[in-house]
Amino acid sequence: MVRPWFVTLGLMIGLARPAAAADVDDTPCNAEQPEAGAPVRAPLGPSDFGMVPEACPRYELSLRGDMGVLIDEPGFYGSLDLGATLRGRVPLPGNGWISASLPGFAYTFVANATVEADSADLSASTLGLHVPVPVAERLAIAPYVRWMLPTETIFENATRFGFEQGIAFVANLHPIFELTGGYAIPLLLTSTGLGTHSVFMPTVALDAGLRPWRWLEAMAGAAVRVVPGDDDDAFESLDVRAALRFYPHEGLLIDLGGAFPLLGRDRTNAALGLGVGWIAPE
Amino acid sequence: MTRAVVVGAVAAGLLSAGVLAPGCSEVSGCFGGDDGLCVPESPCPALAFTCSDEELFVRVVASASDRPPGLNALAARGDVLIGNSRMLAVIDAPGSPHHLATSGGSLLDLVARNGDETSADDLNQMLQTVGILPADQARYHRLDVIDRSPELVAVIARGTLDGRPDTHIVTRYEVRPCEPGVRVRTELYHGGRDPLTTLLSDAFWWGGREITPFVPLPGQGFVYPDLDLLELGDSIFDVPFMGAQGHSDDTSSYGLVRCDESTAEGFQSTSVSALGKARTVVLPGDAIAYERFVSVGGGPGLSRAANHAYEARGMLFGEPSVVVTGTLVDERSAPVGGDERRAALLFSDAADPGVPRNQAVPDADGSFFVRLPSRRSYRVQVSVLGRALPGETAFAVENERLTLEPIRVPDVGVVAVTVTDPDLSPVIADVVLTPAEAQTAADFRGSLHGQFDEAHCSPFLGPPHGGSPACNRVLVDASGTATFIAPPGVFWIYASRGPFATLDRRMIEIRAGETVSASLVVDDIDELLPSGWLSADFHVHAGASFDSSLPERDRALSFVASGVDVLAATDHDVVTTYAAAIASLGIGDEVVVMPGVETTGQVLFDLREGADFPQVIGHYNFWPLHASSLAPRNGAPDDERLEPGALFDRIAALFDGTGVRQLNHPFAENVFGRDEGYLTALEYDPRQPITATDEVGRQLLRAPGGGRRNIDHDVQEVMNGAATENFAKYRRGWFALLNQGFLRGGTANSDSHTLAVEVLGYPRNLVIGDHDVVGFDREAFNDDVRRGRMIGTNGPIIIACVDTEDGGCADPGLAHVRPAADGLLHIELRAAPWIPVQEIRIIVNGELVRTIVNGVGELLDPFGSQGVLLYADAMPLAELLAGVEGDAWIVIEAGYPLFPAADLIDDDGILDTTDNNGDGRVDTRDHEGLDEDDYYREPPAPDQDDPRYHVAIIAPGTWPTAFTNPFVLDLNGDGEWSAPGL
Repeated sequence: MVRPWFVTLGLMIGLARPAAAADVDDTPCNAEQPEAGAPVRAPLGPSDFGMVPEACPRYELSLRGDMGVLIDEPGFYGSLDLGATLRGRVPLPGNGWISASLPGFAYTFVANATVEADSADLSASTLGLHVPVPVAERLAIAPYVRWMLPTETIFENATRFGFEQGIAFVANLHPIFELTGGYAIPLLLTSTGLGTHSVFMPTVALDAGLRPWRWLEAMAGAAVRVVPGDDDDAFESLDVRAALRFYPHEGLLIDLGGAFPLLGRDRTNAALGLGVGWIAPE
Repeated sequence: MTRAVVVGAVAAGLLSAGVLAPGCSEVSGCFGGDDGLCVPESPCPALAFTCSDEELFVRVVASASDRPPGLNALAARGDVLIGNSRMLAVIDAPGSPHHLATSGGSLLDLVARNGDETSADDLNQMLQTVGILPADQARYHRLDVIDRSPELVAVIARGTLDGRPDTHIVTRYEVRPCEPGVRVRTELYHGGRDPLTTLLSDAFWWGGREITPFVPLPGQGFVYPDLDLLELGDSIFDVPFMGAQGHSDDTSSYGLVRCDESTAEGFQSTSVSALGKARTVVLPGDAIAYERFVSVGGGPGLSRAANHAYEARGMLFGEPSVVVTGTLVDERSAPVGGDERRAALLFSDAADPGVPRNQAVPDADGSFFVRLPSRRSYRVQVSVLGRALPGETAFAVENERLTLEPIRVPDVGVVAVTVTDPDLSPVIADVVLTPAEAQTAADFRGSLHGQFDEAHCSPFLGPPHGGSPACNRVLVDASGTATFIAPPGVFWIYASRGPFATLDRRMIEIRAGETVSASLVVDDIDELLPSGWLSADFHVHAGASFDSSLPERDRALSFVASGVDVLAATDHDVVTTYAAAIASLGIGDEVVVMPGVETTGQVLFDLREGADFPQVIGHYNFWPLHASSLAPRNGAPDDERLEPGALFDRIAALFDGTGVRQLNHPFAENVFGRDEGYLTALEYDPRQPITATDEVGRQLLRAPGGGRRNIDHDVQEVMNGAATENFAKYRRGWFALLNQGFLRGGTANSDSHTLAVEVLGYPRNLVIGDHDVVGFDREAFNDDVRRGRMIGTNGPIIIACVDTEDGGCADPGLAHVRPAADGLLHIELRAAPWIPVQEIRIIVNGELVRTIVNGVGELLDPFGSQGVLLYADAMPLAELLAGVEGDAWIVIEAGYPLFPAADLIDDDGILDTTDNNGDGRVDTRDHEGLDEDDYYREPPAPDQDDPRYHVAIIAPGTWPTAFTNPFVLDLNGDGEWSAPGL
């Protein structure tokens, strides 16, 4: 059995080489629109951690806002998470790129029956290394590793950090139709110094993107998240996802995304994302 | 595969972020979760109380003598005692939950010690919680003991949140020498998956009629905003400390100071307070802690514990406080004090709005001693007999101890009352004062700094829920005398021995500084009650209940003073016997007490499908029970999260003989989110049949424990207390059950928690049979109770029987009888001359078929003993049963007409609205301008020329009413009884 862990690292190490000799104009990352190979952006974790990233290198600087809503009326519980962060991607000389989300603003409101509290804090930040791998004319994959840095201030006596690895892909099935997705294997560790709370949640995502015009891309897809360590209830969620992306002018991007857990134990009703940024090719 | 991924990811993650994690040396305790070994660090290290006696102990409760004094003390075998020379605390065993808690591990008892003296326990419970639902409470599973004496002793309670097993909670109760309280640190580790809002706090279950909490906030002190659990945020405040003042004999007072922050967050009410760490969002993997010092003082007044709180804040936060002393004297310079009835002093900031800072009750020598924050100006408000005196003493303090000039208060009067029978032999009796002129009543009302203000407590002689004198009432013991202080004024003074005795009254003028004497005569009216009938109250509380401060001795005296022969002792969730009080009073030949319990659902659970909120099953009484002072709850069962049928099964083994199961106040509303009536909890509509085809019917008919069904109680309350609303609701539900063949005896009980607010024996049951207090046959008596051989009454006596086929005349009861073909219903109505009666109602199968007004005798001299027979006649059953097909039941009622009411709020078959606008009609216009809770208004207090005036003085709110249990008539002669249906 080939383990995804070795697949990812092997691909990253073995294929981290100068740009492939293939004609870049034929690659799925070279769409008419400023951006290609970006799955639905609607994070269900801190910052963009755990969200399958883009499969294509770009220069990007965007301001992203996220919202997560959980209303469990029978359980007398509800939560609202709002976040805003600056996110960027920068191609590296030679091959690959790095991604980063900076510590931003995070607001959390939680109602436990009628006991309510909120908190405005500094959010998590991430740093990722992505290596594109053009494996076929219409298919590109990009193994990646990503760290979540412990910049969150909401914790009173603990620190949260994380490591994630996975593979993003994009398949250009038609000039106006792409498939993107991949898998992510995030591990979140929250440590008080006396104990560590871990969340390990492999995720597989697949989104289809339709690009009828240069200024619009509509996406829809699904993701499956599992928690392997929990024998009783390992199925975290089946998320239905959708996004609309607008490119009103050159590289200007307006990105609306949403994920809606339908099955599994995740009680989140919706995770929504809004991004405004500038995308530029390598 | 998983392991490889995890190992790799962990390694990479640690490389990236490990250096930023807090070092192990920075945190200790159970912040990583409870591994069974972790120990929270010692709390409140800045505290440093000193004394010469370094006694320290911790041990498991092994004998009854380990239980602290006080009616609220509940220490039982397996609990842990911890204490020093100044205090003693009990932490209950994990398997012995009490009150609101889902497990033990709570602070159950807390008393002050001073040499050989120990104050009475007034603490029902202090438990840890993070929210308002049971799922948010600590559920402890283990107690560990640390004995590092002479430095410290501690108890470690380990557990999880009740509904969140991944969230660990560990609490350390620590006692050090000389400290007048317990240091407490709670650590909570969130090992779950979703963010959690926590109000990590101690919840204090005061119960409602016991302790009054105090917070030094502007405009508060002993009064607080209304607590609405659905709008909790509006009731939450930051406070520097919380105090709590008890009002029982030998009382204790309590204080709580947070140690790790200068303020704590919480809410207050006389039912429950919570104080803790500010509400915060805790993410999975995080941990929080909360440290506090819970102090205790012995004796009346808040200052005994509040002084400790100020002292502690000085040590913890460098807040200086000073001692202020003084004396209280009367106009002749005699000391005033010793009892909060006589005088209490409330110290507030001089500036407006003044922040109440402390409260003291002077000692018997008039001296008082309070701590107050330094460098401030204050004013002292003195209250005498529950009323704040005009004028205030002002003073300022710097950093030095201050002794105030003597504070002079006006004299009060003294009343010396003697109550005898006509032969001048002293008798036990109730004595009630009321202003001779109704318009002056407001001048004599009182309260406890704004709490427990009852309209009829005029003159205010003492805390209405406490011992005698209470409210406007005084108990006279077997000496026939009582002496008490009272405000100057002109009053009627009444003496009573219950509704089956004569009533007497005198007008007295009480003058300041003088003693006025009054002699009153009361006598049993022998011709009222048939021989062999006993007067019984099956719902009675005293100080052992979490919501009563009434001493057992006074409660026992009230049994005789109210003329009740037999009682079921039904304190909330604890078995009581009153044996010691009855023995010491020598009244064992006058009253019988059957130990019992009122099971009181407190822990919400999913009772029924479709309910908006988790619920409880309400209250049930069970008697007779075995009592055991070493068992948790004195032998009462753990009654939480059980449906009634399962509770019946559980309690069956605890009966001492053949028991009685009583459904209490079936349609009571919920209080503090807890259902008090089972039928209300089910939203039972008495117009709907109970069948297995709907949820309510299924719930009632199912046997959750495999034995008894939820509807299998023996008797149910038809009257509870004085409220006409209760009778209106409960009789309708009872009739509905009778019509459907669920034959349950109807009872009438006082549900008295106090001497003077709900008066014992009003109403009561008259149990028919050949019974006697001397040589009491408990089995036979309870058998008659289960068989419904009773009438319920708050004064009128209905003596009725039905001619039977065998030539006899059958009393009311649930056993069906075959009436004679030309049988008559014989009715005799009697009442003491001071109990007015206006009509008799005859109800067949739930329908009123006849109202008898003519011939119901007029009252003569209300203070005499003549004219007690008000009506005697017989009427053909055939007339009453005209139109009835099949079998039938008959209930007879007597008294005042039913108070007009209608079901206008929610069409649920329950009367909920009265004629509030006085237009002679009950309609939706009666809702205008009122909160829904006020749509049903009880009859107003009667004027002095109203015949109801006297009974309303003796038993406030009483609306003369009596009812028989049903005559169950087998009309078709088939040997069976078929229910008529709805």
